[in-house]
Amino acid sequence: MAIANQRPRNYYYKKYRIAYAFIAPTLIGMIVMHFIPILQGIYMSFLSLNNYTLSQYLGAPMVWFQNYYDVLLNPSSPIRIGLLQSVRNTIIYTVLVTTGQIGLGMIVALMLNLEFPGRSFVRTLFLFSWIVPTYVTGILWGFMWQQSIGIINIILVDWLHLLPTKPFWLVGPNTIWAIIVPTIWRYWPMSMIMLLAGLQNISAELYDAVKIDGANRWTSFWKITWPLLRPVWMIQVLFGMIYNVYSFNIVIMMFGNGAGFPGEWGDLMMTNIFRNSFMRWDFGVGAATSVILLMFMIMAVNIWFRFYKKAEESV
Amino acid sequence: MNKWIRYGILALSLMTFLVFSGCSKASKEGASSKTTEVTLWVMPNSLEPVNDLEKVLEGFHKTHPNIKIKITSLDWGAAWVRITTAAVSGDAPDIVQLGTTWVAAISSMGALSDLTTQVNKIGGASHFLPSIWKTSSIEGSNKITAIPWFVDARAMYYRTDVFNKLGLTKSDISTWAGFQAALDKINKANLMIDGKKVAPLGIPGKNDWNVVHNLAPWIWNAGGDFLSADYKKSSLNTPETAQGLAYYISLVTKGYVTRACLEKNTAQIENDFNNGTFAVIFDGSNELRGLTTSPEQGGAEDTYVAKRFDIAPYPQGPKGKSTFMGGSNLAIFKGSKNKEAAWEVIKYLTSKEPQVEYCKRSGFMPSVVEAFDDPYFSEDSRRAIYKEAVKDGRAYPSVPSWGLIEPILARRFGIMWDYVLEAKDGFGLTEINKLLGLADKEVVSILEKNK
Repeated sequence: MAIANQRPRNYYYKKYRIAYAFIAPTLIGMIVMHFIPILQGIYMSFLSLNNYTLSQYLGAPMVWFQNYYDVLLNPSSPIRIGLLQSVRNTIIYTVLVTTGQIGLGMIVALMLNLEFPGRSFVRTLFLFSWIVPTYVTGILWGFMWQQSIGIINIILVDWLHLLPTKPFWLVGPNTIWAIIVPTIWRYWPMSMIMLLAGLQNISAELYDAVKIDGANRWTSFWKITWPLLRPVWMIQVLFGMIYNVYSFNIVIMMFGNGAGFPGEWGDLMMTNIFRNSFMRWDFGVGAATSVILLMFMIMAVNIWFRFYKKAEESV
Repeated sequence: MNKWIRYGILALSLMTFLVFSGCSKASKEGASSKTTEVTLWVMPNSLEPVNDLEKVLEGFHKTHPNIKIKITSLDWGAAWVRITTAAVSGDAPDIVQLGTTWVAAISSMGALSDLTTQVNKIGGASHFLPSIWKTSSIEGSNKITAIPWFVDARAMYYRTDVFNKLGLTKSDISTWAGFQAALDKINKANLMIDGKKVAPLGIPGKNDWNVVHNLAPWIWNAGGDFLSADYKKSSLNTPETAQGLAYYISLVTKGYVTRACLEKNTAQIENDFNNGTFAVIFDGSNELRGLTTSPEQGGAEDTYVAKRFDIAPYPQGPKGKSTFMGGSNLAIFKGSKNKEAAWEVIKYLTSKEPQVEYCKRSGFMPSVVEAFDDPYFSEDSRRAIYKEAVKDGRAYPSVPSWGLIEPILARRFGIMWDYVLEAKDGFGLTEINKLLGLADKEVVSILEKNK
């Protein structure tokens, strides 16, 4: 402590000058692209920003917490139309997609961790769905889910005879599956590639050791692979949670390229906020909903971080 | 030393002043001799939106060599957001195409130029179709902000081979009762034509831009409406609106419409009709253009159906025979620096010859009365139906709140098709009234907020 105090005040600045220079572009980028828009969004959430006041933009009349009241407590506010359904759908969607993509990613990663000819080719092939842009995924699956001529029903009903009649996927409660499955399909390769990298870091000796102790593959997976990969899949859980809560493209493209309403079982938070902000021109209320969502996400990430810290300490 | 710095600064500021004043003079001189560039945003109104419009504007360039026009085509899906952003940021084009239902909302933002004086010089209201002229300003305002450019009206397309086979005629489908009886006859006949089973009627469901437009004529023709006469109250929760909706939905529940239609959009239904799947559809005049255009130019003239179809107006309901009428208008942004040149462009596009030419390319109908005198609109008896239909055409009220109400209605009526599909024992008046009650509450909440 005494030595540190003797150093000149700008000692650290001088010592790490080059590091600061390297960080600066990212920092500036973050401030311009993230922090300023977030602050502006929070400010907008206190404004009555609709089609009458839009031309005044940030000079629109201040209504303080009225927008928050409308979102959370006012049952006759237009923002409340379908809000709870989109909250419910977003929760179901996020949980199932995140679980699905990590689960599928894990299974394929375990398979690709085995030595077999053509392994790198298969690995590259599996990455294809990740390369497809999300809006293309939405359009493509929109065609595939069609009731009478869609390939999914043709496979399920005409070829495999798994179902007696062709169900509707884009209309009614099945809509939730119509948005969950393509999202898993789009994102599982990312989980797979990260888990595979993690798997390759686990020493083979550990598996040999438990084998001698009489463990089968199932036990060795749950006793060795799963706990040792915890930092990897926990990061995946975090990414999955954030990506999926803010999911937009696949849903909006699947239901008529933004033309239609995805339905009571297809509407997510983002499509709801988009509709209220950009189609119904209630930017203040849209911003308030976004801020509330942001608060929830900060809380969720905090909870996640506690688990992650524990996991890191145990590893 | 200090003295030299002072002189230096003085010399520098003098030079800067001279450079800038020189620049501004040069640019002023340049402007008078240079051509003006007018920027124009349009939506894909035809297969080649920019190319087609450039062809129509060739005549303009001959008479106005000093005005250049830069056309940008926006997707309908992105247009609403782009135009709103442009209106707020000021980074806007000179001229913008606006869907008729958007005019009031964007005008209410104060982003559009007042064109009243200019439009009066070319004849004002009398120059345009009365039904579409209503969309040129906010209802009740005397400020004209968006000049009608073209009209999108709807009519009924039916297969003449199916009708001939079953002994049906055009007059059989002129009323609601007759229309239903004809559909029933087609349904029972179980026709297979050209290798395809012919379903009586094709209508798009919820994943479509036209969810509300498709319902509107049925609601209006039953005497119902969306808003009250003074546009201050909702009139959704009325027996007439319910009756109109009930009739339309019954066409589905009675099996005249295959349920698979309900997940399709207008383009898919059109395509299915062209391929022989339906006996009847309702569509805009651009479908007629499609069926009379060669495949090389993106049409479906070569199909079996293209040689065997006719057009009829909407069947007469208990209280009327209106068709839905939309279309697009042209407006000049307030921030435009080339207002005079921009007005010249709009004046040209709303004169007779360019109107006819653009309609030939886009398939829409003109907004200008004298354009209808062109033989193009009467020589084909099918196009003549549209010429008549636009007289009975009805547009949504041009009030600022409509832009906000429409997405709410599109959502509610979209869900309606979900319910219709799931309903095991039909979807009768009880269910419809419940649905209209919810829609009414939602519209009231918008009206309350926008008082």
